[in-house]
Amino acid sequence: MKGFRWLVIVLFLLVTLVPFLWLILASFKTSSELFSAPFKLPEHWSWDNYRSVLESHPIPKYFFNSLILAVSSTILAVAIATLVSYAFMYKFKFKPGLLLLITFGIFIPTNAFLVPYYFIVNWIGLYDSLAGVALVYAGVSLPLSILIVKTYMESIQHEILEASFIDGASVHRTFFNVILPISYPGMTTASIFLMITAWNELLFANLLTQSEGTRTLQVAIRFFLSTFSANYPVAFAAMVIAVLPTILIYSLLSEKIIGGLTAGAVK
Amino acid sequence: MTRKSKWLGAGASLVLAASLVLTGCGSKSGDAGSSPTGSASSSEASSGKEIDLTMLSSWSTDTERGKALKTIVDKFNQENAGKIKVSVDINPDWPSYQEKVKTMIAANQTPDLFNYNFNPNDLSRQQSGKLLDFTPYMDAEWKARFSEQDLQAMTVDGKLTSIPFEKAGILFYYNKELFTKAGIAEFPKTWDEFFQACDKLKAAGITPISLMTADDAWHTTNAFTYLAASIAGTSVFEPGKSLDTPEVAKAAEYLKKLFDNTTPDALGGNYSVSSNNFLTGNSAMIIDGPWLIGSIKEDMASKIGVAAAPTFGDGKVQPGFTVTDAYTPWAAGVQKDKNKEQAIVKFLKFMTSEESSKTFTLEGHILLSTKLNLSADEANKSGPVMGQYIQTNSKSPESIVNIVRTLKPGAISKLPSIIEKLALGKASPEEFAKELQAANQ
Repeated sequence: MKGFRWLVIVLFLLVTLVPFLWLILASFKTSSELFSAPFKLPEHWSWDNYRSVLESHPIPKYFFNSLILAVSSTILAVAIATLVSYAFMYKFKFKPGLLLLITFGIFIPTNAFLVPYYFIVNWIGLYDSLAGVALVYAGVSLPLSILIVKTYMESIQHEILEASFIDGASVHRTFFNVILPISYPGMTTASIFLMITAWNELLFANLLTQSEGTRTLQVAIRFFLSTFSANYPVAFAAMVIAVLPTILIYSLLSEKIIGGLTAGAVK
Repeated sequence: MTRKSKWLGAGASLVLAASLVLTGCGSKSGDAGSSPTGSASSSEASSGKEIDLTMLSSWSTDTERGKALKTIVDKFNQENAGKIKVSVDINPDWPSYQEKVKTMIAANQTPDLFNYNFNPNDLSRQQSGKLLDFTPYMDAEWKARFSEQDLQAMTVDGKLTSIPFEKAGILFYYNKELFTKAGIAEFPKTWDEFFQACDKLKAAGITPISLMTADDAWHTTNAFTYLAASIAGTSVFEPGKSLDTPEVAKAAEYLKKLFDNTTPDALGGNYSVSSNNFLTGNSAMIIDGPWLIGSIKEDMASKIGVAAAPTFGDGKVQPGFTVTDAYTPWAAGVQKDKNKEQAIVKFLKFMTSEESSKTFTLEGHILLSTKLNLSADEANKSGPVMGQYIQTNSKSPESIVNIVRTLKPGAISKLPSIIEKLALGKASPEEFAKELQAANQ
C-alpha cells in the first residue's frame, strides 16, 4: 500500500513538475538546440535569453503593472466579498434568491460581455488605465470570491454572533472585532485565487489597455511569440519570469488554500 | 459625531482612498493617445493645435516590419512636426488584436488607424458604417499607386473603406544542400516530379516538407491551396462556390500524401515548430511568406532556394502562379473633424508612397499591394533569399488567396481539426470535402 502511495506521488510529481522543469531548461537553450534536441540539457548554460527579455522591453515596469493589478483588484473584490458574506450571516427577505443572483455570475462566460465591458470602461474614462482593468477583474471575480468567503463564514458558530451582541457590540463592531479576525483563512484563500487569476489574465488586459505604460506581463510575453517572429527560448525565459510569483505565492500559502477550501466541510 | 456616522465616514474615506490609489496607479506613461476614437483631439484640430492620430498595429519593433513601420512613422512625424503626430500602439498578438478592433468598432470607438485581415466572407467591419470612406480622396495620383484589381477587392457596397497594403506571395523555400544530397538537381516543375523528389529525399533520410496543424494550420493550408488551385484553377475557393467537389477531394487526397512526407511533430505542431524544422535543416521544404526570411540565419541563407509551385502541367493554372496571404489593408474610423480626416489621409498617402513602399519591402521584408519598381541591384541588396523571393514573386502570372483567409469564421476554426482527421485517416478525402463545405455554410 505504501509502495502504491509513492507510485501515485511520483507519477503526480512527474505530471506537474516535468513540464515546468522542461520550460526552465528550454529557457537556457538556443532556438536550434531547442528544436534539434528538445529533451537534452543545454550545451552551454547562459543567461542570454533572460538578458534579451529584460533588454528588449521594460519588463520590470510590466511586472509592476501586473502586480498592482493583481493586488488592487484582489483587495477590492475580497473587501466587497467579505462585507456581502457578513450580510448573509443574518436573516433577511429574499436572502436565497439574492444569493443565487450573486453567485450566478460564476456561470456567465466573460467573453460574452467584451463589448459592454469595453464600452463602460471607456465611457467612465478608465480605458487604457490600470484602474479600469482592476475594476473589471474585481467585478468578474466577485461571485467566486463571495462564494469562497461566504462558505468559510458559514462554518463560524452562530453563537459567537449572539455572544458579541449580548456583550453590547453593534453589527459593525461585531464585524470588525469578531467576524473579520476569524474569517481571514477564507479571505486568504479567495485572495490567492484572485491574485493568481489576475496575474495570468490576458483577455481583458489586452482589450482594456493600449499603451506601454499600462501593459501587463502577460501581454508583453506575446512580443516574443508574435505572428511574424517566434523566439521560443526567449519567450520561455519571459514565461519563467512571469510564472515565478504565482509559484511562490502558492508554495508559501498552500496550507491556507487547502484550509480555506476544506473549511466548513465538517460542522 | 455618533458611532454610526463615524463608521459611514470611515467607509466613505476608504472607498475614496481606494479609488484614488486605483486612479493613481492607472496613470499612463504618456506614450500614446488615451482616447481610442481620438474625439479629444477634434477640438484641438480645429483650434490649430497638433492633431494626434493613434495607430493600432501588431507589428512589434522586435520584428523587421515593426522597425520599418517605426522608421516611416518617425519620418512622417518629423515632416509634420507641430501639425500631426502619429502614435503607434502595439498589440503583438494578432488574433487578440483583431478581436480588439472588432470590439472597438462594436462599441462605437473605432480606432483612428488599424490594419486587419480582409476576408470576403466576413465584411462585418466594412458594413458597420464606422469606417472612413476613402473614395473622395482617391485622386489620380494616389489611385495610380494601386492596381485596379486591388482597389476593386477593397470596395464594399460602393465604398472604399480600406487601403490595399500588404498582399504577400507564399512561395516554396527549399534547402539546396539537402536537395543535392538527395540527388535532386532543380526544384520540381510538376506535382508528379515533386512527389518523386519527396521519395528521393526520404530515401536519403531527409524529411521532405514542414507542415503543421495547430492554430490556423498555416503551412498546411498553403500546400492545400496550391494543390486545389493546381487541380481546379485559381477560382476554386471563390465565395459562393461549393467546396464539396471532386477537385477539392482530389486536393485532399494529395494533401494526405503530403503528410506521409512531413515531420512527426506536424500533427499538433504550430508555426514555430514547423518553420524551425525547416530553419534548422530538419526538413527540406516549407511553403511560407517573406516574413520567414527574417528568421533565416546568415550561415543558412546561402543554402536556401526560393521557387514557384509545381503545377499538373494541364493548363488549369499558369506556371509560376502563387498563393497569397490575405489582403492586410489599413482602415480608419469615421471622423467628426474634417482636419483629422485629412490628417489620416495624408498619413496613408505617405505610407503608401513609392519611397515608403521601398522601405517596407527592403527593410521590413513586406510585399505590398502598392506599385514598386525595384532594380535587380536593389532587390539583391535586400539579401540573397529576399532577392530570389522578389524575383520569383514578381513573375507570378496569377494568384489565389490562401483558403484559411477566405472561409467563413466557423470554417476557419474547424479547418485544422478536419485536416488532422484527414492526416490520421479518420476521414476520407471525400468526407474532408463534405465536412469543409458543411463548416463553411
